[in-house]
Amino acid sequence: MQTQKPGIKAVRSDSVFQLLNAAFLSLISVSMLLPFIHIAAKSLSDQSHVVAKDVWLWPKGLNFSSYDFVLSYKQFYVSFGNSLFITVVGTLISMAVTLLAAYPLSRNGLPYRRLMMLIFVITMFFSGGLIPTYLIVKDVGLLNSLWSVILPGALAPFNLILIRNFFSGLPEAMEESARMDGASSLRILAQIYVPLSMPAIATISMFYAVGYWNSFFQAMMYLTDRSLMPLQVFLLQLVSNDKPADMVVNDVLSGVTPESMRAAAIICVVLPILCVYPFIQRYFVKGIMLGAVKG
Amino acid sequence: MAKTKRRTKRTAVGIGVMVFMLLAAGCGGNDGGNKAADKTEGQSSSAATASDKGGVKSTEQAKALKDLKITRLYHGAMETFKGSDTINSNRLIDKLREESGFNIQYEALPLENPSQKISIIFASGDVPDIMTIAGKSDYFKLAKQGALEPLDDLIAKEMPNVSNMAGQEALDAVKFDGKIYAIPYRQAQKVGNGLLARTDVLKELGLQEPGTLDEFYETMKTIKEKKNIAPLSIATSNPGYFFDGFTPFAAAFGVATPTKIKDGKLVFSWVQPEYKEFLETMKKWYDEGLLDQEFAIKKGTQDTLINGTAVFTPMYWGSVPEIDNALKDKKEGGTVGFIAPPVGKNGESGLQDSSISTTYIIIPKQAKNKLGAAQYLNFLYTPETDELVNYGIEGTDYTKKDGVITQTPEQSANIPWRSIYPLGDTDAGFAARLKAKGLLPYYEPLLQYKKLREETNYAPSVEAYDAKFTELRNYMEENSMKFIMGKRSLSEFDDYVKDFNAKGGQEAIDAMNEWYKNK
Amino acid sequence: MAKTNTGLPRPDLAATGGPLRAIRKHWDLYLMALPAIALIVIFKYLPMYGVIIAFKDYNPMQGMLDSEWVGFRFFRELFLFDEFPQVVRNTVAISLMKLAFGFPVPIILALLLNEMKYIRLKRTIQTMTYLPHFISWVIIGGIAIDLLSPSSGMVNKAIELLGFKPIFFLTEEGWFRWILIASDIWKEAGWGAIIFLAALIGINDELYQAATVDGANRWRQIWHISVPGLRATIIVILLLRIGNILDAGFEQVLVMYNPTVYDVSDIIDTYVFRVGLGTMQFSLTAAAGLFKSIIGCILLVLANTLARRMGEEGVY
Repeated sequence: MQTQKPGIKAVRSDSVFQLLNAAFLSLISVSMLLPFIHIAAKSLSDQSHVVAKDVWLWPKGLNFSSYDFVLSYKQFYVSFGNSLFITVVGTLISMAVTLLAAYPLSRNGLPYRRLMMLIFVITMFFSGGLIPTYLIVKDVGLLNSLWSVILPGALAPFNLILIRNFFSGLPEAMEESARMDGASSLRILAQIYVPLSMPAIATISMFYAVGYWNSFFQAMMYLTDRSLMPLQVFLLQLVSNDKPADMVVNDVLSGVTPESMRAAAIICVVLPILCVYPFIQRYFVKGIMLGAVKG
Repeated sequence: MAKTKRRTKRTAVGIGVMVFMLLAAGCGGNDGGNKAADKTEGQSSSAATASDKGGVKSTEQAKALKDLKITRLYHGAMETFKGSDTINSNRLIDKLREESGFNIQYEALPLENPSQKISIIFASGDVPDIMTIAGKSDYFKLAKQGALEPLDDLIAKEMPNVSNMAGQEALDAVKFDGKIYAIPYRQAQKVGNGLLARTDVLKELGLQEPGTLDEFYETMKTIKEKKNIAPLSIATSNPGYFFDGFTPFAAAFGVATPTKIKDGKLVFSWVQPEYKEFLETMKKWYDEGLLDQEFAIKKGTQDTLINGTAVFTPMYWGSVPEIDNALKDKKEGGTVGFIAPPVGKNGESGLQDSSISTTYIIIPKQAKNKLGAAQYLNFLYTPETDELVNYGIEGTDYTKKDGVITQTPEQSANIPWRSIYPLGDTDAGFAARLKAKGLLPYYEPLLQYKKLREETNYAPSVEAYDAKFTELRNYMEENSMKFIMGKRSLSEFDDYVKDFNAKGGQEAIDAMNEWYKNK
Repeated sequence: MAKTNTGLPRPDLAATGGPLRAIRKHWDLYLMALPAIALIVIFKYLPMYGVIIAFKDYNPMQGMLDSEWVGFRFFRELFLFDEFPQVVRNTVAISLMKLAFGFPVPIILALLLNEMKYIRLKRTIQTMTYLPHFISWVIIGGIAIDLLSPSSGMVNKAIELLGFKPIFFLTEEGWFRWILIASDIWKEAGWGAIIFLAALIGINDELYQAATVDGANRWRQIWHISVPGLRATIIVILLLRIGNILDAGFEQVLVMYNPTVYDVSDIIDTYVFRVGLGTMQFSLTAAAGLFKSIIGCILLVLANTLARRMGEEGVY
């Protein structure tokens, strides 16, 4: 990969652009960091300052009582485990199903391709509603099992469409030569399409993972066993506003404001996702294989 | 190569799961119809002790089953179990099982949107024996749909102790078509919001606690002059919160409840001439900068009192300890206390009555153990059980000497989850919990003020009224705030009244008067 | 461009004969789609009979199928609410504003990020911009309300410093919608940019190299290589946004609005919620939902057809 030396003028205008761009992007990204810092500061502050709305971007009266409180529940760890299971297993299943379906749907000229696509798209608009879905989940025997949080939404048409789009954009040449060598469709998908679309796959995996990690509604509806509660449900209930009066007072007396507790809960939920992102970004590297494909 | 192999394996697993699921779906479909036939083989109860107390043996009904499932609304205390205790396994529920003779299992509805789950439960036919539901409209809807068991007979034969929880007036209010379908979940808290003041600021400025509305106005003016702050802070941003904030002042005009009685008939307070006077006064306060300029967008006012940017604010008593603590932590200090709601020119004043229950205890029509449900409720409503669920186990959680109960704060904090089990609050139990937590000083001062009675709270379902109420309230709220803020001129008050009545206000109140007339 | 498909059916895939023949011929491809179709059929299509409750007076005791038919009663009820026309107007207006101003932002953000050469900084910025997505509207709304407060908010403090009078952003009808748009962009732009970034990475480097050799400057490269490379993704996402035009952001509006701006900000979802229809009024809620779905679906079909006419692949 050889590039021609660009002229001096181009270099200067380029570096000016780079600087301006970096400055601009840094500025807006800092503004987007603000709410998160604000919450973190609140979660680490003394309750009086939080109630007084004194805390803005730096904790006042630093203390960890909110975290002590949230982490003192054994349910926290149980729920964390549940969420982890739902997220990991769910994402694997979702990706498998999505990739498998995206490949044939990206095959130009496959009969009934548009019809199949339409079948998926329609579900983005129409839903039978809560009760019939619940009855199906019940009949399938998934009620009160973590699978009820995973399977009903395991295929997101939106993600399927995106992956299909990436696949259709890939060059055909390599596939054709592989086909001539007698490779099966599954093999072509696994050995050519998947490696070629790693950035997209990483992105969609993250979409799925975040969706599972935040799944809330299904858990509320399909799980009654408290030992199956995912983290989001547990924390939301723990820090909810409309708790009975004497409970709220109880918390206050134990030294934690609902406000700072809520902040701590948000941090507990968001941090794990943040830790995953750098791994995803690793796949955001240009042209791992593309260069080799062309030809 | 190794990588792709793993990947192929993963997809293979995926397919395997799918196939399994399809099989499962097929099987599930087959026994879907067996729901109704799925009757529990009656483990005949070995001891229906609770019914012995009532002394009534029903002849036609079979004996109560031993298993009893209770699904209650979410309660924050459910999260407070420590160690190996859970909601269905701890010393208190063991004792309840032992004493009642029923194998009780408690389960909770989700905190968010419990109505959804409730309808799902009824739709799936997999109902508990006792359930608590929230909201008048949901309750009457279920009663109308035939989802609930009428309780008149059961109350008469099996539940003499219901009278400890609900008087005749309360039971009349839950009647549908002349039948009782629920026991109202008794609220022991009589009042929630009061008018809180920074008493130290009043003292500092040499001001008396204002008594009348005029005095209140003068006091605010003085504070405004001396401190240059808007002395009264209110937060009404959330739908339905307008009167949570303005009640103490609307009460001075006699318009703090949705309806009032005039010439022996119910009328909507919100369309009366005195309501206009109330709005005019509030507008004056707003224009003069006495009332928080941001009341319409505020969601809370605790910070204003703590920071001294306001001196008065309507506040829930349970939030006062938080303010108290924050003030204590501050260098400048400060004290807060409830003051009397201001009295209007006709001597009217008051606070919102919070004792009205909008939570209902019901027995589903399809329940398997209706008799057991009734007997268990009756058992819960005995004074002995009430002591058990409010204090815990004698000896461990509290001590009793000569009929006097002592429970230390530590003992109380050891069983914070006990409040999950009662299905209704008694005054004694409520007071006991507050006392153990040191909260009585925050609550008791409010009891001395007049509480405003809303007549329609005691009415059973009146469809024309209930169906329109929220829409009407929203309309009132939107316009009241606009009137106060000067976004709509008060000269248009008559138009507002006309619109209000045309929107169904007239029809609603007429329908309600049908009930009131015959009461 | 080398990568895009020719659009002509490949000879070996061309449909000749009926469905059975197609399946026999491409059984492997259909089998691959089967798990996804099975999931959708079981969990989405089997419960679909539930839409009929929009036309029934649903009673859980009688069940879905046996509840009484009431035809269009609930639709009539919905349309006859005095506020309904206004609520629909608000929904469409807010949605269109979000589309017009909010849709391009993630694309621009992705393009700028893609141009950036400091890899470390680029990654940090990327992570930071997608953060607000994970924080619920309840919190973001609360922060926005604090920031915009006329008496104590930072924004108004700045405005006052510049010598102007404080603005009541959240109670002025003229301002409120713009606050909704701006906060929505601020919260979601970073997250929205991720998918475009992934698409940009997929663009062949050699195209840029060739362009550099030809002396094309940065803007020309963005315009002639990056943007066309994003085209398919942009169109798909745009089409789906058009289909969701009646979803104007329930949670956001609910948190941020207040009675003084109902006139310009009450949307279908908040209205249905506020009037208390959400509780056990399944039939009415279903009617409202169906109304939204049908409109959304019609719009998507129209937009998709248009896109295909223009030679795009479209959503389906």
